[in-house]
Amino acid sequence: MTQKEHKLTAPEALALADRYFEARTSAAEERLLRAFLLSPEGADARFDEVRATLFFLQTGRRHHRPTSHRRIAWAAAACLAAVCFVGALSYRHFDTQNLCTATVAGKQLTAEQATDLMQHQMEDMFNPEKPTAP
Amino acid sequence: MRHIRLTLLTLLCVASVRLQAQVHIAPLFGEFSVLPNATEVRISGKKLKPYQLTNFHSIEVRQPQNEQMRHAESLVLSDARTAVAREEDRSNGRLHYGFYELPTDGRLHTYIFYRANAQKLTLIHIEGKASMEELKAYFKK
Repeated sequence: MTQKEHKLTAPEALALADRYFEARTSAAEERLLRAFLLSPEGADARFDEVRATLFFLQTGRRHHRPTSHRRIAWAAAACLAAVCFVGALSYRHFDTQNLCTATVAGKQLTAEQATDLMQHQMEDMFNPEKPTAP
Repeated sequence: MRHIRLTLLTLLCVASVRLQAQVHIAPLFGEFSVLPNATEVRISGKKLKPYQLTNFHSIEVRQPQNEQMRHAESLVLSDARTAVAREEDRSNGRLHYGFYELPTDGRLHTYIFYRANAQKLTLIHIEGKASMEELKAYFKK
């Protein structure tokens, strides 16, 4: 069906309605159909079904299209935040794995002293005849 | 999704199990570290990289009491029962020193080094990629 006129006749509208339900109408044809349904000729009961469907979907699109974009954006932001959070936690976890402590008689030593002690203890273990007191 | 969360949680728990939980000598570090004549050293991560080690835990007791030496020796020998390699010296029925490599899953070596006399008791528990020969090369003069 070609749109030679901007105003549809009832038979043209009926044919267009059938094509609408077959999902074969273009956006321009839907606009023509919508305009016809809003006219006095379109108040006919034969167009009740297409009117209910067309205007219901139009309302749904108006309400949901922005929301679905919003939802995707929020979901992406939440995923990114979760990834950053887990990454920060993992960094903290692995950072604390670099442990270096030493205590002598309950008194805490420095990391450098701890490393020195480790060295001396291992050397003394393998060289008992040559003790290396720190 | 629930299965994935449960699996991740399980893996996290397994990964956080500490080295000392696997050996009989583990309680000794806590028992001796509170003594006024004791030195405890714990190192893991970056500082041990030059030695190809990942974990180092030692306890040293100066002028140890006989009972402390017997107690430490019995726990060391309990772990030594499963050692895959050992080097030790006993005199008068007592363990003078012992170097033990414990069984692992093959990725990292686990060692217990023990030396005790009237002046000093030293117990070292380490984990890493270094072999016994490499450790001796690093530390033996």
